[in-house]
This record gives sequence, structure tokens and C-alpha cells, in this order.
Amino acid sequence: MSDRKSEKVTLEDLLQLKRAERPPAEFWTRFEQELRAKQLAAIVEKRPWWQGLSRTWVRFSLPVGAAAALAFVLVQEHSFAPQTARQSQPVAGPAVAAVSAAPADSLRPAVAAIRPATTLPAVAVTMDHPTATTPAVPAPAVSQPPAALVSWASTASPQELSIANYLNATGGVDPTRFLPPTPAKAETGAANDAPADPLALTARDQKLARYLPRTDDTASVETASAAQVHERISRRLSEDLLYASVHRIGLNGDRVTVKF
Amino acid sequence: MSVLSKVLTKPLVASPERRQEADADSVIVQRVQAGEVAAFDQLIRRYRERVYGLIYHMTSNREDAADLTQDVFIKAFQSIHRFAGQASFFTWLYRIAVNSSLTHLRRNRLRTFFSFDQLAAEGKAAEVLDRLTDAGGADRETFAKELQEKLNEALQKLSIKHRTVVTLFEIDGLSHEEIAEIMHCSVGTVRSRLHYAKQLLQSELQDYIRP
Repeated sequence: MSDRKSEKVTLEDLLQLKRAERPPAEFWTRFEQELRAKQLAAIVEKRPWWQGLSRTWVRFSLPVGAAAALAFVLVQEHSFAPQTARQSQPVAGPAVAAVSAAPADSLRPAVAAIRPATTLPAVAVTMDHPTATTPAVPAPAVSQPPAALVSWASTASPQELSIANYLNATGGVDPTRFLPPTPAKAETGAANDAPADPLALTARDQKLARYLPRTDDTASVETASAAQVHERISRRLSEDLLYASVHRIGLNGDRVTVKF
Repeated sequence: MSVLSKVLTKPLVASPERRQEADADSVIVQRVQAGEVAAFDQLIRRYRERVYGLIYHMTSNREDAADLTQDVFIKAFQSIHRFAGQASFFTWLYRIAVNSSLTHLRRNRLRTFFSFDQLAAEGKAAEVLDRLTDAGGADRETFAKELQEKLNEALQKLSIKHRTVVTLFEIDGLSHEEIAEIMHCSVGTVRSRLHYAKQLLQSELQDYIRP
């Protein structure tokens, strides 16, 4: 190379040579044709779905997020509202509402006085039609309430009346199920007619009860069984370990072998 | 305010020609944004050689450079409604070109084929060649080809970022500030990358370079 090299140049001069590398003129004709074709293809080509999705997400993320948060708060508020608040809602008929609001002593005679004519039919109406709270609307042909209900209503406290009325309004269950057992039934011990816990009757309460910590006896029974299982497993594991340790060590002639 | 932050926040001082060019570009861009799609052809014709040159010097492959240049113009066309005019159209287009080249080079790091354009020995290039060879020598063309290959090999030995800086500064003639804006880095970073890249190139091309 030294024979033909007359003079050395700088790096900048050498890099100037790179500028001189140019495509031929016909290259640009082909370039334009290909570019046109690509432009048309880009117009016709369907964009991937995620591009549109991301653009839509950017546009609607804030309002959707706000709406979701609001909905979540409303649902939480509705689902976990205190039970007493719902009990105090005026869902009962006028007679029962008056009874539940008034002091027990002063109302007992009043209830007894109007019981055959007004109170009991009103209770019965609200059981079948929870929203029919207006006294002006004539009640449809209602069958007479059962005798057990009539007798229980005469002795029930205002709180009991209120709870029974609430459960009827929300669950639409048979009112006689809440009545205390008659002496005959209590003696026979019929399981079907046993008085049910009013708080555990509605399906909603049952669902909610799943998320509450258990404090009843079933929890202790389960804990005991879990402890038994744990003990059994640990015993089994210790036996396995012992068995494995025995089999890992062996004597082979004058050597002791240990398997890992 | 420290000296460094003064340097970093210093506004770009564009040359009058570049400013004039930028004004003309913004008018065309506004026409395209208003729906006059055909006006984009003017921008293509104005910048295609420079964009192609940039990509070609970075990839050292003319087929790849042609494809990437077309892609750059299509991307620019598709996104022109998002061009807000904060930078000049030229800077914006160069940024797309640099990013496309970087993506291409990273994807094809292991696959490198060189295919060179012809060295047009005229003007400054002819002068350099004359100084390196006998002006009337018969082997001048062979030497030019050999030198071209050596140059491209040396450039390809640089890292992608160093190669980009050398290409933009030494070959395309952009200022440090413009390169910093295109590459999203500080002017100091551009300077240090350029210095390091030149050192490497000098050691690679020492047979041809005056010490």
C-alpha cells in the first residue's frame, strides 16, 4: 500500500468519502414506486386490534375508572349496611309500624283491641305484598291468619313483631315458622317444625355469614380435626424420615455407605 | 444555575438556512394535516436522500437502507397528525429514522451483510483519493473500493450509539445540539461519544491517517 500512498489524510477527510457513497439515479425511481405501493398497503392494511384498544383505553380510562370506583363504593355501601338500619325501614303495614314504634306497655292493649279487625290482616297483607303499605288500597281477599299466629301476636313483644315483619318483607317466608313451638310440638321434637333462627333465614344473610369469622362450636370442631390431621401427618413424616435414614446408611464390607 | 444546566437548557441555535427550511416544512406539514395528502410528496423528495444516507451509513446495507427509508416515510405520514411542531419537521423525521435504524440493528445484530453504494469520486472525495493515491494511477478504483470497505468495517465495529453520533455529526453535518435532540441525550453525552468513537476509528484506520 505504501508504494501508491503519496500522502496520509485526516479521519475527517476519510469520513468525507462516506458522503460520496450514493445510489444510482434509477434507484430513486424504483424507490418511489415501492413507496407508493407501501403507502397504499398501509392504508388498506387493517391495524392490529390492540392498537385501537390501547387508544380507546387511553381515551376512556379516566371516566371508566371513576365510574368503576363509584360503583364499587355503592355496592360496598349497599352490601355491608348495618342490619339494624334495614330493620328500621318502614316496610310493614301501618298497624305493625305503629306497634314497633310505640312502647311495649302502652301498645299491648291497643294491639289486643284492634287485633281481629285491623292488625292481623295488615300483617298478613304485608307478608304477601311487601310494598302494599297504603291503608287506602283495599286488601285483596286474604285468608284468615292461622290461629297460632293470632295467639302468638297477642303475647309477642314489639321487637318480636318488628323482626317477624322485617323477615316477611325481605324473605317472603312463612310467618308461622317464626312462632315459638307449641308445647305439643316441643314434646314430639319434630325437627321440621323446630323454631328457626330468624337471622339465619335469608339467603343473603347466609352468604354474608360465610365471610364472617366463625365463633361457634363448628369452628372448634374443625380446629380439633385439623389438629388431628396435622398430628397424623407429622407422625407419618417422622416415620418416613426414620425409614429413609435407616436405609441410607449401609455396611458394605469394611465401608459404611451413605446414600443421599 | 450551574454551567451544566445552562448548557442543557440552552435553546437550539439553528442556522438561517435551516430555519428557512423549517418554516417551509411547517407550511407543507400544515397542508398535509389539513388533508392535502399530495403535499407530503414534497417532503419525501426533499428529505429522501438524507434519510437514506443516514440509514445507509448506519446499516452499511443499501437494500435494508432502502426498505427502512420507505418505512420511515410511511411512519411519518401515518403520524403526521400528531406532529405538533415543537421541533422542526427535519428533527422529527430524523428521530424516526434513527429509532427505526436502531430497532433494525438491534433485531439483526447477528446478521450483518454489507452491500455498498458506488463511491462517486468527485469533489472532496476525489481530492481525498488523489492525496491517497497517484492521481493517474490505474489501481485508483481498486484502492477506492478497498478504502470504502475498510471505512465501513471500522464504522460497523463501533457500537450503535457511537456509530449514530459519528454518522450524524461527521457525515450528515448536524450540530451537537441537533444530535442531542434527536438522540434524547445531553450535548455532553454527544461530545463524549463522538470523542470516543473517533479514537476507535483512528486506531482502526491508522494506515491511512496522518498521525
